[in-house]
Amino acid sequence: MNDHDDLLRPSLSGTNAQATAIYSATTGYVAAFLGGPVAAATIAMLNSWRLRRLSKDWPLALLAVALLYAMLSWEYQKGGNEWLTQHLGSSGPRALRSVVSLLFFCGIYLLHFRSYRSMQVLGLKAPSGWVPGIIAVIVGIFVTYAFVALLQS
Amino acid sequence: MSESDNTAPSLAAVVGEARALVERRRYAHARATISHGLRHFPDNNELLYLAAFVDYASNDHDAAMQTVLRVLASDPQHYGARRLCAYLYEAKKEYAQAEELWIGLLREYPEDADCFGAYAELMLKTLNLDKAGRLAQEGLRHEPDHPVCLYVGALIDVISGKRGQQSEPLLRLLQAHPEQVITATTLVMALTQQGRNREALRIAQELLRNQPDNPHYLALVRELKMQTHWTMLPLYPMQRWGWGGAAAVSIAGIVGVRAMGNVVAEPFQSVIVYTWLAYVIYSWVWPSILRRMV
Repeated sequence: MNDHDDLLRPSLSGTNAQATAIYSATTGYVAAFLGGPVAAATIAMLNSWRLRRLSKDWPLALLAVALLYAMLSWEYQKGGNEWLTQHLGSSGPRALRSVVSLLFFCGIYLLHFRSYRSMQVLGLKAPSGWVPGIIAVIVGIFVTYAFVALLQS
Repeated sequence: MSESDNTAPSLAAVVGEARALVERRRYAHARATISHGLRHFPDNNELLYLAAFVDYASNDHDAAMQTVLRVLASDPQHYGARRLCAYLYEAKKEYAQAEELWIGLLREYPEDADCFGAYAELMLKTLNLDKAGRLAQEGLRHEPDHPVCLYVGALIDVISGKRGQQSEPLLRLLQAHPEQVITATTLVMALTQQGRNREALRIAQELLRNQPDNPHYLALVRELKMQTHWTMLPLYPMQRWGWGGAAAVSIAGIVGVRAMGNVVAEPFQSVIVYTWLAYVIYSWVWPSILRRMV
């Protein structure tokens, strides 16, 4: 099939027929800040599902879980908490988690950059992010406490 | 031509006059001419098509669709009616039906840059960006300065984060069609994405001056006025670099406040923390308040 025929193959049918808006960058940013990398990944996975690219993006969820576990493992088992408290003060461990979560959000933003940018340029309205945002933060906090409990046991 | 004139006019003259009026966007006058013509030639497809076009341009999409389907029932190959029908489907967000029409047209007119441009615009609207870009390129192969194909190409470059000078379609659009509204609109979008809001505001204000009733331009000017307000200056990193800037400011703030905590003694430590908190709250709350005020 040549390029011209390929161009004339229909791309819009059923659910593909409408432009898909994803949850806004604000939703992802706040979820990452409050719920950590797992919360950020939860929003990213919901967006990937909306963009029908979950089969390509799912390793990101594993990466978020591995990143959180590695960070908590360093904090609780390798003396990271003491080092952070000594150098950054009593809330140092929390600050590190916030920084790592925001960096993780930056990665997600780059991954879905074209979708975020398209929505901005074409004026597409993002769906309300309140419910998924709250759920993502709860999931993120739950996984964090579960890992902390596991590492301290 | 008056409405009460009942003498049989020449069909060619009526169609010619109506077409000229439509091209000049004198829709009220065109409607009167078309109605007069249709009284004498009620089944003439050209007049019906022009009537549908006038309805479409006047935002009476239901009437336009009804008339255009009537034209297509008697002449399924009517080029203008098929194009208009596709635009009407797009207006109703029935994108799959619109796509079917564009594909049919392109199979029959494989070198028609207008159809490539319109199909590319539909793909852009439905976020099929790669295909939109390829369609625009194909259209430009047949007509290198086609404005809609250049517009789609330029917008895709803006979405991909290319700067104005790196976007060949944008530069060509500016050179070949500096007077067209589509060029000014694209330029506003490109400048906004680069954080050059003051320049974007000047062009948007010009667009609004030319079309004061256009709600899109009005909203654009209001948004840009808000973005260029002096109270938004402290939020420059967020405006210039978007979410990347917001994340960088947050990280710098968190690290900076912690590091300062170890170096600076009280009460300066508290001052730094509260200043930082005030800045964060300001960055979240103030833009929304200002948007309502402008």
